[in-house]
Parts: sequence; structure tokens; C-alpha cells
Amino acid sequence: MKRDVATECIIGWEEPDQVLPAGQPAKEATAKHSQTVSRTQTDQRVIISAPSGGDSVGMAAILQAEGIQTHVCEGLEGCSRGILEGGGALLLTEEALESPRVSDLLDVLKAQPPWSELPVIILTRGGESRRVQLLDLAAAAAGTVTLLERPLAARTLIRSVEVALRSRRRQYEVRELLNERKAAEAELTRAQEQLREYAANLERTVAERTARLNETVQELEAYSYSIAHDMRAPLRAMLGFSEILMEEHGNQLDEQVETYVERISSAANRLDQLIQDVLTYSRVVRGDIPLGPLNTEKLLREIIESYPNLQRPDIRIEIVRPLPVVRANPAALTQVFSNLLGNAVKFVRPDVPPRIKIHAEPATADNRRVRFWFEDNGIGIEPESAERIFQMFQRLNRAELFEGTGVGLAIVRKAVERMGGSVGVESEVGRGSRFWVELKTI
Amino acid sequence: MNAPLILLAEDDTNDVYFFKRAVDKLAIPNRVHVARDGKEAVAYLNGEGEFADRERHPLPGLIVLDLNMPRQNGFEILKWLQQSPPLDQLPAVILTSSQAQRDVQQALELGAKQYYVKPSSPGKLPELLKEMMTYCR
Repeated sequence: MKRDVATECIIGWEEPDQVLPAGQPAKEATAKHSQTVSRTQTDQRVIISAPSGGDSVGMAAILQAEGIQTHVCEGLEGCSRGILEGGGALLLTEEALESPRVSDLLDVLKAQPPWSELPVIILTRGGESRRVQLLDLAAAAAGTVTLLERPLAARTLIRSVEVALRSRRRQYEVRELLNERKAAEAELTRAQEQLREYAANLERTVAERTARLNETVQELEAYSYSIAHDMRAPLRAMLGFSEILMEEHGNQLDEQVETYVERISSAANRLDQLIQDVLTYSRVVRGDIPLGPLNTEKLLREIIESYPNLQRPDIRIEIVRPLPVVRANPAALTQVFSNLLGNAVKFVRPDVPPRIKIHAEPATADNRRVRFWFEDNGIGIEPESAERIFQMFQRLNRAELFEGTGVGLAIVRKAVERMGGSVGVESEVGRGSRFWVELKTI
Repeated sequence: MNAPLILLAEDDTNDVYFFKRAVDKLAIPNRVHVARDGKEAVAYLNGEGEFADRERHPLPGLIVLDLNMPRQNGFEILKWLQQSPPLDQLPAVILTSSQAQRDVQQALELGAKQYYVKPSSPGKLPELLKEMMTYCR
């Protein structure tokens, strides 16, 4: 019996954590709302219980006259139920506590949620007879019990009840605050969960995309590999047999046939160069480019001494020393410098001996970046083409004037960018070009 | 005593032609046996079937391997050689069109004596062959 009431208590008290979760169907939300409304109607009532019916009616009449809502119960059982349905205060006579159901009432009071301390007012006859029981009740109700000795003036009763109801209203405010906090916490938890879910999704997406990207990159690498291997083989045959043809039968061929063979050779050579340049470009785009301190003066000297296209006796290259140490990759910077020098000696008028001047200057006030200049006496570039020449396969001159694949400067730009630098050109047609490369010094 | 045989594993007929031409140019006495893919090279070295007759098909003094071949590639042959003593004692070199650093490294790790890139001009092949022959036993 006792256990039943206790169970009912837990269900009956409106706990602050019974907050509507977001996303719950509107129907349930409405039901909950109407329950809250009916609850507020009972929240302010005074629950009265006295074995002597006259006492109950009399007290109720006094309070009602003051505009206070009342709810008269027969016996303590009704009292417990009344409390669970909602009440602002509990008003009992000492005799009511003689009921065997008093322990049920204590259970209901003990099971109150943290915000709740239902004020209890007990009218005593005075004397020590029920003291122990009353103190028990006081302990269970957490000290909100007021003992009023009878006989007492109606004024005293009203005053005590008003104080009790005021205290109860403050408890309701706390309940509201707790509800709001719980709602905010629930919202926060939900947001955190959602965030976690987003993060997990994002990670999954990134992992999936990365895997797909890696797959594509691998396919591309296999593709370049196959270009290197398979496409160059027939070219080698074309070049090889042209060469053999000239070597073994050159003296039997008339001039016209010789020209044809040379054209086959030169076309095959151009395609071979193009394939090699594209492969170099893809290596620069994709390959590992570890950066470290690099002596640019030494690197330039090595390039100038070893590159076949820079060995013509009419070429003069001047290096204005000292050149700084930069943070770069040797292979990538070799590509950059050798391409710029190669262009400088290539794009000159036929009767002009190439002159190149290389110098460097700080690019920023803090000296963290340095700019290299490659100045030539070549044919120059129209300003409107200055950007275009760094793009793949862009050529400004007819092939019979200047050979080339249109890949060199694309390699230069990509290599410089991968080393954290930048590249550009200042030029005027007929007055030479000034290519610059900006790199980090540390 | 005949000059040692050169076993050339090469699937490209043009490259085979250039190689044989380089042997002629160099005027070396060595015979060349051509295996048209990796499997055939292994069969030759193993003395399988028609290659069982070691009088007609002696073990080579030098193996020249292309890397990219049908059925079994150059790397696989190198690996197989390493696991097939005493054939692992035969000197093998690579002659391929691949310039990939990865391929060079892998080939040398698998026991290739040297790595040569096919020249775009066959005129340069005799010189390369001359250097290869220094590995021939």
C-alpha cells in the first residue's frame, strides 16, 4: 500500500527535467501545455484536511472570504492525492495526523522535487501530546512546518496562509528558472551532439574525398608513367629510323627526300620534347619539394657551366654579386633558373648576341623575401601577354622562328609557387625582358 | 671458346632492331638471344622446353632487361633471379625508357648491376652497349 503511494509520488510530482524535448510532435506538446495550465489552476490552492468536518469547512470559509482558493480533503489519503495534483500550502489539524495514513503523507512530502518545499501549517491544541509526531512531520517537510496553537484568531490563520503561499510562489519561480535552465542545457546538449555528428560527418567526408583524390592522383601518375613509357617508344623508332635512313642511304637521297626525313625527325623531336616537358611539369606539380637553404650563386654557376644551350660563345651572362641564400628546393630552382636563362638566350633577334644580367634585391623591408631579376636584350613581350606566357602551352611566336613547347614558363611559375614564391615579368617589345622571381630567404 | 651470349628481354621490335644494330656497329663477337617478354626470358634461363639444350642455348654472360614488358616485367625477373641460385650470379642490367627515380632505385635494390635509359637516338646505343659489356662475364 505504502509502496503504491511512493510510486505515485515519483510520477505525480512535476519534475523540472520533464521539459519538452524539441522536435516532439505538436500533439504531445499541446497535451503537456494543457496539463501545465490545469496545474497552475491548482498551484495556488490551500489543501485542507481535518477529521472534524466542521473544522475543515470553517477554515475553508475564512480563507475563501479572503479570495484564497481551497481544496478540502476527507482523510489524509485524499490529502496526499491533492498534493500531487498541485497545491500552494497544506493546512492540517493535529487530529488529522492521528490517521494511520500519515506515513503515506510523509512519503509524498519526502518525494518532493528539489525546488519544492510545500509549506505545511498545523493547528495544535497545545501541550506535549503530539510533539514527536509533529517534529517528524517537520523533518520530512524540510522545516517548512508552522505550528499554530488553537484557539487562534481568523486574522492569524489568514496571515500565516498568505505567508505560506508567498513562499510557495517563490518556489514556483525557482521551478521556472530550473525549467529554463534544463531546457537550455538540453538545447546545449542537443547542439553539442549535432556538432559532434557534423564533425564526424565532415571527417568521414574528408576521408572519403581524400581517398578518392588519392585514387585519381594514382591514376594520373600511372597515366604519366604510361606516357613516358609507351608514347615515347614509337617516337624513338621514328627518330631512330630517320637517323639510320640518313646514315645508311643519305648519299643516295636527293635533297627533297632529305628534307622530308629531316622534317619527320624534327617533328618527332618536338613531340618528344613536349612529352618530356609535360612530365617535368607534372613532377613539379605533384612531386615532393622539400625546402632548405640554397646558395643561389653556386646553383646559377653550375647551370651556366653545364647546360648545353648556354654554351654558345656569343652568350654573355653577368651575375651581380653577392646573390643571397634562399629557402628553396635544388631541383625545382634549377628548373626555374635554367628555363629563364634558356628563354633569355633563345628569344633574341638572330644577329644579336644574347646579354643577360642577374641581380637580386630585398623584396620586403624585413628582408624575409628577395627578388631575383633576369634582364635580357631579347625581343621582349607585349605587356598584354605578360600574364599569358606563364600558362601551359602558351606560345607568342611562330614555331619556325623560335622552337618551344610552351611549357617552360608554366614549369617556372609552378615550381616557384610550390616554394612559396612568385614570378612575373616587365617588358617592352624590342627592349628586352626583365623576369623576376621572388623567394623566401628563411 | 665462344664469346658469352647476351640475353635481351625486350618486347619492342624496333628497340630489338636498334640493339642488334648496335652489336653489329660495335663488332663484338657475342650472340644475342631475344626473349620477347618476361616469361620467355625466365623459360630460357630455366632451360625449359626447347631451351633445355644448353649447347644451343647456353646461359648468358649478360642479361639486358626492359622494365615494361607483357606477362612478366623486368622487376619480376630480377626478383626471380635473386631467388634462383645459382642464376642470381648472372649479371643483369636494365635498358628502359623509364626515367623515374623510383624505378632506378627499385631496380638497383633488386640486384641490377646498372640502369640505362634508352637513348632517343640509336646512334648513341653502341656507346651504351660498350659500357654494358663491362658487366659481361
